[in-house]
Amino acid sequence: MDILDGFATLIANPTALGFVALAAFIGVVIGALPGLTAAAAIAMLVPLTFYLDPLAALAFLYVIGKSGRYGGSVSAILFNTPGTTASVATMMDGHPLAKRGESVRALRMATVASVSGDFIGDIILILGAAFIASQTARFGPPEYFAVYMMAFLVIGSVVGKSVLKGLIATTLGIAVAMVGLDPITGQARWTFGLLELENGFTLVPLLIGVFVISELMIQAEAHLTGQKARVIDQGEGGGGRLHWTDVRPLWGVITRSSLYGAVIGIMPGLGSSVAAFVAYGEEKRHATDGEEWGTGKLAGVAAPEAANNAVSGPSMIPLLTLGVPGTTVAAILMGVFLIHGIPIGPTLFVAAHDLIYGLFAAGLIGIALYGLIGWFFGPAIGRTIARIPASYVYPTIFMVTLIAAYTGRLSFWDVQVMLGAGVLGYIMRKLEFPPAAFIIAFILAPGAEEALRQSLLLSRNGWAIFVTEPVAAIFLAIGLGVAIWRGVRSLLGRN
Amino acid sequence: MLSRADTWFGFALAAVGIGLFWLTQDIRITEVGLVGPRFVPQVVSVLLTVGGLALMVSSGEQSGDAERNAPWRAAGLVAIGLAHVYLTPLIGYLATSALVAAATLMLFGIRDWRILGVGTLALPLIMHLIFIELMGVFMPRGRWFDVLALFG
Repeated sequence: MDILDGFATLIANPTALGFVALAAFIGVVIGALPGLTAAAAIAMLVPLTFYLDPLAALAFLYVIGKSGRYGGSVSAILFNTPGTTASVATMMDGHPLAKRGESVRALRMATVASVSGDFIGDIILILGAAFIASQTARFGPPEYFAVYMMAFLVIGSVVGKSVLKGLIATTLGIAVAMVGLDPITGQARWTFGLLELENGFTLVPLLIGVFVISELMIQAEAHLTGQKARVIDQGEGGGGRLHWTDVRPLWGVITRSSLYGAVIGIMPGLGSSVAAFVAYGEEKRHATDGEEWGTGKLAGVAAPEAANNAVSGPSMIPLLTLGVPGTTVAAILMGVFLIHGIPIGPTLFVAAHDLIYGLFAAGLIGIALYGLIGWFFGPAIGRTIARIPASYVYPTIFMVTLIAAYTGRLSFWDVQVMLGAGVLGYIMRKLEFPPAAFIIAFILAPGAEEALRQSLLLSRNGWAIFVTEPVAAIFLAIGLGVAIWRGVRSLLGRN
Repeated sequence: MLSRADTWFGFALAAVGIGLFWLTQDIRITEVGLVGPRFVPQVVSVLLTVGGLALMVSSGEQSGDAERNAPWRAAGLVAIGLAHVYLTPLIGYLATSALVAAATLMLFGIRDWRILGVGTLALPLIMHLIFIELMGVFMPRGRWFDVLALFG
């Protein structure tokens, strides 16, 4: 089986294995830190991976994404502060459990559910991705353009609270991607005569700026004064114990929630927080004791955590098969693929077979490792983080970003781009424009333009090629349909 | 919830869209047909203009300004970053980072001189060790002065 080749590839690369272990730990810590998302941390750590081989680089960042999703449950349960947006659902029953002196029981339930959900999601990824890739290998430029347009429309209209703002953010991302020399004719576009802009904007400074600098600006604005998180005293019980008899009745909840998460993960733009809330809502609705959810039910922790982590693997399917990242983490990983010169798309499974299955193996090992770390050290990590004031952490992160942005091209211009992107990200977040839509559009725009121009060169019918080619027409229809449906719902909601 | 800030942002967006469209006139239409290097930039600038106008028109429910904390601190962080960019080539990475560390710690509310002192010394050293020594990132020496020159 290909996955066994993947394990062999990974085991033969001790550097990659070491970075997987490091990533499992770092992700749990980062996820537990309120205010710093896994995506922001990954964006900041991308420059560190320039000096690694592709498998080590991708495995490191991929596993941080997984363990970061789990790590959010630590602060949600212990501090009533979600470490990630997805862990808001976990907080609803997790923190009441902690207040009753059962924090360890809650954390271990979160660990079991997260690991289970993540494994189920990764199995779906491993079995599904290769099959889908074999089908999409027949796509030509019209189909690829239609896929990109679907991604722009779906992500722009689904991510964020406002369809209009989501689509504007998407358009801004495309506009920023157009800056530089035209790849076919070499003409300068929107370079304002600046030599630095002839190569356009690079991904890493934009990523760090939009996700990390903007967050630091918001935290600086909030005027932190050395506040520490308040950890509830667990009393003589020490946090309680999780027994097999607690877990056994919840396997149904975990399995169903994992499937919700996997299905939602495949769809571009939805992500972990949607999965967590859908799973929580559905399981509560069908539970015989649904009215007690929110008071400290273990099932109320298991459902969102399983769904949240089940998103991770399937969210890679549109990236690996179509070259369309459906989540922020997938968009960052796509950037890492490109930085290491690995072309994304259906040929990936042929051209980089060992790398892809090595990455899948790294994911499975990473899940086991963060599960062990969380089970044995989760409470200790939470209590340690509670002792560190955020006003120590954020200046450190800022210092890292200043050199991380410089590292890619040894350019202070990139540091300035990072700061400018930070200002843009800050404004976008203040006005509730989704930064994720901006970044994903920036990454996809060059490929979309290339596919468009190739399609029209090939076509005898001009623009009709996107309608006469059935697969292209279907993808365009899906994109338009979702955007129109979301727009109508939004208008009806306001009226 | 849309607000007055959305109206101004929409205005700025529409203005930027119009400006970018005007700039696309400098991009030549090539012999490879109408969909050349100018097409996507023009479409995007029109969409930005339309989006900006739509934002201005649809921000009818004025909810007033967003809650104000201390926005000058957010701007201050950017200013510190720009100072890092312009000072590093002049006085070197270590000296600049010490100033940046101190300024950033103070911006985030640290006033205890002991913590400021430790942070000012430790953060630049740690960054230097990890990025410059361990990872081999090349950082130019300062033109006016560099701490590393004292050590040869």
